[in-house]
Amino acid sequence: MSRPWKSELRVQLGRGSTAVQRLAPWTRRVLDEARVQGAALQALPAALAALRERSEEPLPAQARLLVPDELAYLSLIERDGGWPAAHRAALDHFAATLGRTDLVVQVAAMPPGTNWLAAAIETGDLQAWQQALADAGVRLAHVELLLLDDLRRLAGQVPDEAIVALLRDEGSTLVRVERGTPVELRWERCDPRALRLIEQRLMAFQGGIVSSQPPGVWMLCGSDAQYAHWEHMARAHGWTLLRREAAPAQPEHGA
Amino acid sequence: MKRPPQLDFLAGAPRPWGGVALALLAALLLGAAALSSWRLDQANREALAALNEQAARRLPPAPRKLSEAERVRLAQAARVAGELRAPWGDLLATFEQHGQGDIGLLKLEPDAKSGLVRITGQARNAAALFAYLRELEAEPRLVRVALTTQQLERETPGQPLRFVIQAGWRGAPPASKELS
Repeated sequence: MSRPWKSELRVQLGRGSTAVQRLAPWTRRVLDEARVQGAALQALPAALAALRERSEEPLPAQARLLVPDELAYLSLIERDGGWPAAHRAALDHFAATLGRTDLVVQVAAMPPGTNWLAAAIETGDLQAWQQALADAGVRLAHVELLLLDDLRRLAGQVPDEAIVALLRDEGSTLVRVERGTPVELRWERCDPRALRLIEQRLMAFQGGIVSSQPPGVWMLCGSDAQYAHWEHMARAHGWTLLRREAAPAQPEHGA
Repeated sequence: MKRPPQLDFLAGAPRPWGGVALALLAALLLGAAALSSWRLDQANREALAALNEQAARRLPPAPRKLSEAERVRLAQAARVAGELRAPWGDLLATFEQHGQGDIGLLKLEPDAKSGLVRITGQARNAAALFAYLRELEAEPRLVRVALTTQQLERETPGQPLRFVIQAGWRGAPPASKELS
């Protein structure tokens, strides 16, 4: 159970780096951050150690971990009958498409109708994250999707008819929004620096080739470097370019 | 775009918070109703116990077997009570309302046990005495009226006839029963 009156760790995994942030109680303002390059299984313990060394205060007792798109299987399914039926349908979907029945599966209803986001992660990955945090004296309280975290941040800016392009470390996630809710989801594994490749796939997904009035594109960059890389292209197409978040606040010593 | 919900791999099925809240509210209301009912029941029990205690204090004790001495005392008390129940005022009025001017009553002696009354008086003369006697015999409240004695009082001025009349009265209580 979440305890908003206590400080919390926010763990953002990446294929090439892991960032761990110490968040304040209630406001969840970033008090400190440690980022370590490398694979998650090695980078996470190192980031926890770095954060602990930089403050006299002990690490928060609980953590929230965001799973990147690269480490999750994602799909939109239609199902009536509430959460149990949708969860059952998700299990069947991943068994049919991936041939896997050993995944950790969860579903979330996409408002307002019968669309559900089905997500699955490797059981081994979950256990490894729990163990790494437990070794540092931290309880893993929540395991959430970076995809939904980003969409929740963008919801107020994105219109009800739009294409959302989320640039990741190893590709991009494209989301078609109709009547205010995601109706199509596609993961494109590719080099996120390949401008022409992503441009073509994005335009195909947008329907710009066959439509004279395609929906607008909102592109989210994961870093300042990505933002600079895409700025010219986005301006040329009239895309809206966004950055996930500004740099974290300077660590507060003695707070 | 509508703000999508978050997804947590460590959470189970979403809780129907609306239903939980309603269930909690219902449980609270039921609990309050049960508590109120219990308190009312307790108050009723206490009131009933107090009433029972009051009633028990007012009821006479259960009868018990009497000793010989108690039976004698009770018989004497019953006799006195019977005599007290005799209509003395009524009797006196009955004897005084007859023989006006010619009869003077000296003594009235009722006997509640036998239901008889004995009067002693003076008559002016024999004619007045017998007229008084006839009036008493006709009195509906009296029975078995009888002149038991008469005597001329030569030494008393006017030489009246002194008499004693005995009579029973209607509605006299029966003789008290012997108690077992």
